[in-house]
Amino acid sequence: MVGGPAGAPGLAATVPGLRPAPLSTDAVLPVVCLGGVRRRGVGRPWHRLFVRAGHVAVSPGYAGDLPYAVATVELAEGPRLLSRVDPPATLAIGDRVVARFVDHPTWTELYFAPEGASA
Amino acid sequence: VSALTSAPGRVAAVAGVGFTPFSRDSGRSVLALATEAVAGAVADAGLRLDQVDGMASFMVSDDSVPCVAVSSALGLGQLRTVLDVQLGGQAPCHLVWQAAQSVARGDAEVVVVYRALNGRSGARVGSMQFAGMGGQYRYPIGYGAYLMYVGMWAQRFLYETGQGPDDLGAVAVSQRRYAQDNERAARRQPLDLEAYLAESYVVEPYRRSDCTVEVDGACAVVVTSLERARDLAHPPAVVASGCYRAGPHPGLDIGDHLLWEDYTRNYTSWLRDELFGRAGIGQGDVEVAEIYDCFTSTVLMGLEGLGLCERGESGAFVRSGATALDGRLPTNTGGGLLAEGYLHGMNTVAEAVLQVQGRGGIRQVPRHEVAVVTSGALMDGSAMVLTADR
Repeated sequence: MVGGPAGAPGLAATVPGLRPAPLSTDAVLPVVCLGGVRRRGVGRPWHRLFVRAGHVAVSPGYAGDLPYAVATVELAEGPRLLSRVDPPATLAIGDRVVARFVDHPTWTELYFAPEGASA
Repeated sequence: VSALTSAPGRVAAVAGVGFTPFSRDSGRSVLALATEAVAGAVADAGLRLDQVDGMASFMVSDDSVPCVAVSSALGLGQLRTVLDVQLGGQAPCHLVWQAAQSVARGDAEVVVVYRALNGRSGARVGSMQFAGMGGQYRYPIGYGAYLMYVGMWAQRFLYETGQGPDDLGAVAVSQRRYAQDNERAARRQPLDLEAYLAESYVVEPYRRSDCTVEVDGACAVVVTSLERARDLAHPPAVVASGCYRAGPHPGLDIGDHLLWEDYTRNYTSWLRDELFGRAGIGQGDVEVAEIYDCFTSTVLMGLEGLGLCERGESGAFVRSGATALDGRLPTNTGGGLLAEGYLHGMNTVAEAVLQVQGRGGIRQVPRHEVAVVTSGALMDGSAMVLTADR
């Protein structure tokens, strides 16, 4: 689930003419891609990796969420979308996931969980 | 090789290259970097600044200076053609090809293509939020850095082609070896597969050595007619073919890949037939490859996409030593963006030019009459074939 900066805009599209298709919470969806999983190095927090390696700052506003996973999810109906998957640790490409919704103060978040994971 | 078989007009060639040092903090303006590299390239070619009548450059989120600024700073005469584009690593081969076309048509005689940026001490592409409509779907969920987009592709590419960490690592190791012999390179410390695998992930599947190293610096190349180039300081690198391609559904912006059908094939798969066909060569004729490498996976995708090795076998190809200096196809011979520095592929072009000209120094490839260069990582990009004058 997303922590991140306060007041993050919702996932609902604001592009005219583009609206996400309605989803039921019990839809069963296969993950086709899994990427963007960030790990803390063993005994070395990611933040420290940033300083030591001088590496790019990766969305620093989300450092508090580490580690997290983002997936390209292919819906059973065909379209693909980007989403957090949670919990990330056990998920592999091709696993089935289900949609979950979380209400935040100003927006409702869609994320996906491995099928069978407790809510 | 019969150059420009399908294009009218004159044949063009790259005659010279220019660099600033690559650093973590140049302490100089981007304009100062650009003028140094441009002036250096013109001098390297054996031309005078007042002979330059065309320029082309690119920038990401306004991180550089336009051609007219460099022309003003250098006191050039009239520019007869100019091209400033808002593109990233897709641009270098595209712009050199456009410059070659300008020369072929007679629109200009001497066109300088450059990239200049304080990419380390100034705005850094690696942590930049890109303008465009796709961002609203990415940034709220922490999918907000360029290495994530390319990493997402890499995960799928590796999964579908049955490749993995050893294959990515082989690319990093191969290129680091070249960088040890390149005084410009930002990363010159030795790297072996064991040390690579010991690095922790930044974003899976990428470790630190899978990622380009951001630097401050500038690089330029000079394009002119082959006829003129023959009388200049160095052997010409003939621009035999160039090609840009955005595959179907290239997205709302640089980070939007949702409608792309096949994540195992990037733009290189889409342009290769036209690229090699126009140059009148086949893959077997290529002697040097400079493949765009903001991340290790794009080298594998480029080798497969261009048909320089079989699908799914790029990792084995690199692990076999084929991309080393004494290998079948020396690849990214300056250490690439991974080790030399992130000049967004302008230095990738310059390295190809130096190799074709026979100016590669201790990392000179023995057979260097035909080089292929690519620019770009994902949905769109460009490529070029450079040949010796023969």
